[in-house]
Formats: sequence, C-alpha cells, structure tokens
Amino acid sequence: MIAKKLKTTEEKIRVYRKQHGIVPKLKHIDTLAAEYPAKTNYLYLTYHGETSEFLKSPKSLKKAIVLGSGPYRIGSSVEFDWCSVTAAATLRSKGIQTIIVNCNPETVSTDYDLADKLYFEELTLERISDILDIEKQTDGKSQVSLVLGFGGQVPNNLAMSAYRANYHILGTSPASIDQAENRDKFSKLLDKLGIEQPAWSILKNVTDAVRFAKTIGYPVLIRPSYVLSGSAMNVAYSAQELKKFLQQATQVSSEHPVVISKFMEMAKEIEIDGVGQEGKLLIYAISEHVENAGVHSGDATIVLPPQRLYLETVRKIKEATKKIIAELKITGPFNIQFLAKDNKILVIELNLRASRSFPFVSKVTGYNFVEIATQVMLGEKLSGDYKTIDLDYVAVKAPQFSFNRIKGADPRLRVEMSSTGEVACFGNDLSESYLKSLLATGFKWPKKSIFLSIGGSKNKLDLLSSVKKLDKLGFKLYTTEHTYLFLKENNINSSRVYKISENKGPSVLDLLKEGEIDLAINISDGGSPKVESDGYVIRRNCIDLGIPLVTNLQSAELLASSLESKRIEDLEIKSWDEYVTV
Amino acid sequence: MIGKLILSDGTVFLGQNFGANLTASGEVVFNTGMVGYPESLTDPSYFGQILVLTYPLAGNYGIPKKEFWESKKIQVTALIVQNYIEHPSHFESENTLTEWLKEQGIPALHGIDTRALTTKLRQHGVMLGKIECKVPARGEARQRRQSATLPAGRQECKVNKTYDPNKENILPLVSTNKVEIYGSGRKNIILIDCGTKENIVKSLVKRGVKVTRVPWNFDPLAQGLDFDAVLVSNGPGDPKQAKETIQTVKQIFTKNIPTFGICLGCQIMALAAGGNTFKLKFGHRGQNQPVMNIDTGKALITSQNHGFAVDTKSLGAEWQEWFFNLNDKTNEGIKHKTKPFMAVQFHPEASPGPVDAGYLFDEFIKLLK
Repeated sequence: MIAKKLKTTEEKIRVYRKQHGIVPKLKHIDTLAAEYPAKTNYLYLTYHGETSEFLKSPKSLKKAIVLGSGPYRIGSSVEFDWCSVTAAATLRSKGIQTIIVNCNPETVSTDYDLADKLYFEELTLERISDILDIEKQTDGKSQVSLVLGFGGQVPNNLAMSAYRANYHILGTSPASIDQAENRDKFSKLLDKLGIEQPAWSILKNVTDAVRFAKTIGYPVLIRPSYVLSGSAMNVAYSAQELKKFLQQATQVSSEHPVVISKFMEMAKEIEIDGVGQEGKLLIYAISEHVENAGVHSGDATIVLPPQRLYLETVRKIKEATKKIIAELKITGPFNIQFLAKDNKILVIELNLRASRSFPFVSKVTGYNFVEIATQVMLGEKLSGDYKTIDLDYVAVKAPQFSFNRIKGADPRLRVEMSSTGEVACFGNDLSESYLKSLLATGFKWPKKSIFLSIGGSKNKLDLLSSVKKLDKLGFKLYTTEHTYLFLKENNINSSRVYKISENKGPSVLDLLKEGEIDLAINISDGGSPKVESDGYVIRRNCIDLGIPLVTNLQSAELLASSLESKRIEDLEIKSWDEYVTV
Repeated sequence: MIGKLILSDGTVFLGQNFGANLTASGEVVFNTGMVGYPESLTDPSYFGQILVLTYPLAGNYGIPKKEFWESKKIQVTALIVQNYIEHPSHFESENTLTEWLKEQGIPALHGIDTRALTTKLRQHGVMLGKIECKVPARGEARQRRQSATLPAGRQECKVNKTYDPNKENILPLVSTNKVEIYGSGRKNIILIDCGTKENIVKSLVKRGVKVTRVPWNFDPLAQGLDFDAVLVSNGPGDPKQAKETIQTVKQIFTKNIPTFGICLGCQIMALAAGGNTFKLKFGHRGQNQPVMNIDTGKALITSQNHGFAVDTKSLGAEWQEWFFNLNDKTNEGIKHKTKPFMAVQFHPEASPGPVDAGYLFDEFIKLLK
C-alpha cells in the first residue's frame, strides 16, 4: 500500500523501514495477562509493543516454516490444512524445528501444540519476512527454510517474491513454479515437450479477444492466471457473453493477464496427483471425473482408481507427466489436470503444490503423499513400487454443496467452484462407492417417483438408456412437455406435468411441494443461462424442499446405472482398513 | 496528544493522552478484568492509584448512567490502556470514556504496551508513577487555575512531585461526611464507610435490612445509635493509616455485635483484633481470583482489588483463617472461632466480576437473628 502511494517497491519500503527500526515486536499469547509468568509457543507480531518476548529454542540448527492456507473459503478448506499439518508433523519427526504460520483459528494447524512454534499471522510476504528476520535473529547460525507447497494457492503465490528475496525454499524451485503458473511460459514448455493443450491466447483487448474466439470457435473459457477455485472463470458461448465476462475478469485481477482458451465440450477430465523426486516421478495417483469438462475440479465427483479410462489414455498421461516433471525438475508435490477426448490428451493446468485431492488420494491408496513429498523436499532419497492403479476397491469423492443456505443461488455446476465440502466413500465397485458417497452428502434414496426434465435433443438421446433403466426399476416418471413426447416416441410411459410458465395443473411445483417426487433430474441445455427460466425455478425449489437433484448428464447416467445394479441393502458397511491394506 | 508514563525506576512509556490534559501521580497498579471499567474507575479502593487495564480494549461499551457507578465520581488518579475505542456501542451508554475522563479531570493514556508494563510491575512490584502531559498554552492554564482546586494526586502540568497514597490517611477523601440511611428493614446495619462501593449498600438493602452509612471515623456506640450489626467497608490505602476506625472496631468487638469486613474492612478488623497486615508485591486486582473456603474445601472465583493482606500468623488463637488465595496462598478472609466476627479480603458484592461469593451477605444477615 505504502509502496504504491509512494510509487516505489515493497522491497525498498522494507529496507527503509528496517533502517529506521520500524519493525513489529514479537509477543506470545498470554492468557494470564502477565499477572503470572507464562510461556507459550503461540506467537504473533504487533507494532503495538515496547519489547519482544523471545522464546529460547532448543539448539536445533534447522528450522522450517510451513505456511498454512489462511481463511477457509470455497476452494481452500480443510484439505490444505491436512496437508500443512501432515507436512509439519513429518518435518518435526525429522528433528527439524517446525514453525507454522497461519491466520485461521478454525484450523488444526493453528493448534499451538502441533508445531514447535505457531505464528498466528497473515500469509503475506511482509509478515513472512518479519518472521524470518526474527527466527534468524534468535538463533544466529540456524538455517531457516520455507515450505510453500502445502497450503494451497496462497503460499504458492508467494513463491516468486520469496525467491527474489533470497529466502531458502524447500522443494521445487520457484522458477519452475512460475513456469507452471505463467500461461505463456507454461504453454511454450508444453509445445517444446510436444504435449497438446487447448488453443489459448493472452487477452490484450476486447476486440482481439473476440477475434481470437472466432478463430478457435465458441465456446471459449475465460480464465485469469494465479487463481484457485476458478473465481472469475467463465465459459462464453457467444461474443456478447465473452465481452461481459472479460469485464468481470479484469476487475478481479488487474496484475495478472487474462487467458482465453478453447472450451472442450464432451471431454473427460482426468487429474494426476503425485510427488516428483529431482525430476523423476516417484508416486502418482490418476483419478477421473464423473462429470465432463466444464465442471470445476473442486465440484466434480472423482473416482479413484479410474474405472472408465482406456489403458492407452493412462499410458499417455503418465508419459506426459514424466516429461513435465523432468523438464521442471520437480521435487515435491504436483497436480496436473488433463482433458481426454477421443483417446487424445490435452493438458489444462499444472500446480506445483499439493492439490485439494492429496488427502483423498493418500487415504485411498494408503500412501501418505504429503509425507512422501515432505521427505523428498528434505532431500531424502526414496524409492518404491507404489500400487495406485490396480486396486481391489473403488473410492468416490463426492462434492457437498450448501445451496440450501444460499438463498436464490442456481444449483448448477459450472467452471467456478461452488461446493463447500466433500465426502469420500469406498466400495467394491463404482456403483457402490458412488451411491455411498451420494448418501453421505445427504442424498435420499428414491423410492417411487422421479421427475425428468431434459433440455436439448442430444441430452435426451444420451440419457435414453438411463431413463429406460429407471423405468424398468419401476419408478413412476414425471416429465415436462418435450421430455414427455420424446419418451413416448421411445415407448416409455410417463406422466406429463406442466412448467410454471405454462400455468396449467398439475405443475411441477405442486408435485414437488406435495412430496410426490423423490428425485429430480434436470439437465439444462448448455449455453442458455436464463436465470429466470423454468429450469431455475424447478432446481431452486428442489433445493429449498430438500429433494435430491441431479443437474449433470454424466452424474445422471452413473446414478441410473448404479441404482440398477444396487439396492440399498447391497451397500456394505466396512471400515477403511478392511479396504486399504498397505 | 502525546503523554508519558514515568515509573519511579525511571522507565518511560510513551502513549497518547485521551483524558484530561493534566499531570498525575500515584501508585501504578494493574487489573486483569476483561470488563467493568466504569465500575473499576469509580471504585474508591483505587483512590490515589494509576490503574492499568491488562485487557487491551477500553471504552468500547461507553459509560452508563450514574446508578451503575460504584461511587459518585472517578476515583483513580489516571487510567492506562492499550487501545482506546472511540465509538462505544451499548444500549445503556450515555457518554464516551474520553469525555467522562475529561469532565472529571482524569488523564488517561492509550497506545501503551500494557503487557510489558504489567510484566514490569509483576517483577518489580507495584511502584509509583507519574503521567506527564504537554504544557497547555497560557490562556488555557490561567483559565483552569481559576476553576476548582484539583484533587489529590493531580496537578497542573509542570509540577514535579510524585504522590504516594499509602503515606497518609486518605479515608476522609473517599468517605461520606454525614450519616445516611438506606432501606427500611427491621434490622439496622451500620456501614462504616471507608470508601464503600455502592453495591455493598445495594446488596444489603436487597436483603431487606436497613443500612445506616456513617463516616470512616464515626463511632456508633458513642453516638448511642440503635443497631444490630456492623459492616466495615472496602477502601483505599494502607489499613494502618485508619487509626480511628481500628479503635471503633475494637470497641464494637467488646460488645459481641455481629461484624463483617470487606477488603480494607477485613484488614481493619485484623488490626483491631491485634493482628498485622503487610503489603503484597503487586496485589490482587481482577475478576478471576480463586479462593478456597477452609471450612468446606470449596473454591470460589472472586472479584478482588487489594494491595495489602492480613498476616494469618499474627492472629490470636481465637481467630482462624477462613479463606486463602489459591494462586499465592495469601489470606483472603478471617473469622472468630466463637464470636460473630467475620471478614473477607475479596468482594462478595462483585461489580465488576463474578457473584459466586454473594451468599456471604446472607450468612452475615443470618447472624443477626
């Protein structure tokens, strides 16, 4: 702030400040108000102090500062807290004096007995620098390293500036992190390695953007770099929409460029989470998304190990991953997101940090990815044959939404993340684990009737076999006009109901309110975001009335086939260690 | 406006004055309570003292109307806080802390590292201190000189003497100067006012007794009053300075009249019984002081404000220790083994603080029947 006003740099202000002795003082949280002597390792900095209260630390010469994830919000939650806590525990077990910095009292990482020291402080370069100064000052000879890879995007964003300030950072070099985060550099790297990616361009102005979108063809994805949870990310289906979204995107982040890329429809999304060791792939886990591309990875239902991928695709993904890891000399955690379409793979993004699926893949495979990553970052040489693809069970991570608490929100999934939690469940096959995870998020097993409203003829065709399954299972089907006619043509009987705009009874709303419907499947036609549409009213009422709602085509298909293969009694109740035996 | 706190050991703390622009001196003490600044500031036991609040926020709920005060005015010499909150938010707030302090001529500093200051007082023991302010412009100073004389411990800027409230008898400065009657019960309790908190009067009246509040040096026996019991109140300073009150209590003891002492009253009763008192290093001031009842083995969390304590060993065989402080094991209450004399060092009337010990008023009143 000050630097901006004085038109200089943060670094210069810092130097000036330190020259004049304007430094915050170190205090510890003292619940005795100094009435009696107290010693805690729960620390904070303040400019409101006369004296610092230094803690005498044991004579360990190695110190590591683990940065937490900061405030909880959509996209950055307890997953990253688990990662930070596990990293800290690993460092501590290696005899390194471990210091956690985080500013969220809700987290486990801010329990002051987890690390040797806890700084309850904001995650900014200025504060981290102050802490480093204090830590170096208290034990002159010790080496202090930063661990930035486990707190999500907030610490990750500090990598370059911490690197420029000459701080010692454990793991993959920040120059590599920048290469992954910077679209331009990353794209050139992929070109060099011969790995495909969706066509993209950095936005310079609206006219250029519209021209570029025209050449690659709509829909296009608009995406600011250095973001988590896809805020300000959007899919535009027309030039008009593109202009509108561009305006929003540039408001969100003026320092970082906005990228426009080809949005691949009907493509599968695949993630690989893993740990690199000096440019070699040490351990990995490949997970597939149930939903097609277009749903944010944080909102997607994730299946591990993948059940419906070609071996060829898996092989290609591994190959591309190995190339990237070698090129960037990755040592530590990473996550790469791929699109797969017609046996072709494209790289969407690379994160050189632990991703939010690290806890999930660790729990499912039985290997602690964070522990392994931390050991590797400390320079330990690990090797092993980790079995992560051929497992005897399937785990599904389903998103948990809070749409019922957000009045008026349209409960549809899109490229901007909206889930507030997740549940992972194990099963002997995909159907079982999918149904279990749905039940765990509050889904109610349908008993007698299902409402269907499927927009677009392609969606209708795609879902036909699924609807047949539901019909065979004996569900009473309620449908809206077009769906009704389509099903009739295909010899499926259903009861026609009326949309709100048709003003005729029986209306969908009546049935929903009377508790007549156990499950609603509402697939809207891509590209028509009319918020006030009938679809919205139906979806919103389902949420408000607590009726299970499916809005994604692939989810609907998986649900139908799962319901076909399993009754609720078929779901086995087993503990984690009955599945995972590593 | 910049203000300084200068401790008697020479330490200087810089802060900002948000009270009256005056110099003040007194004994610097700290209180650990998280709320209750209007009650604490008006508690006569703080007379002559510079009060440091260890809780970092002050002023955030404003100042309530007079009936919530513990006496008619602010009793502390000066106030020190870390962070003064300018905009109070409370439905019963009638004034801001800064305005109230200015009206009553009390300097107050904020922006002080109260944690460091408390640590110093804890290690060193309470010490004398002085608040210095900026010398006001000439016209202003002349104007003030024409107004009322300044209370003890407070001086115009420039004057360079440090006031010690323990070196003189300050009870005349806090006690009532006439006999006042509260309530209309059948039983009459004489309240010897050594600087009583209003809530002691209220606590008694609420229990259906008549309270006759008399000055610190009033002798109810000599005056021929008809009464059933005596309560010796709390108050400021060194109990040994209250010579006349000690004499009065000695007389009352000879008549076997039920007597209850609170805080300074407890010390006065101990002295009247032939015991001794001593000064604590940094005193007990706060609302979470744990004490144990020796008779029952039960602990109470109490509100306290005292810098002196009774030396248990100095008491005669007919007296026993009743309560002691679980933090530092010092005496917190005494009682006579056979006669109806009892006293506590803490504040059963609370205000501010927990009301756990309120039942002691009931026990006292039971003695009258």
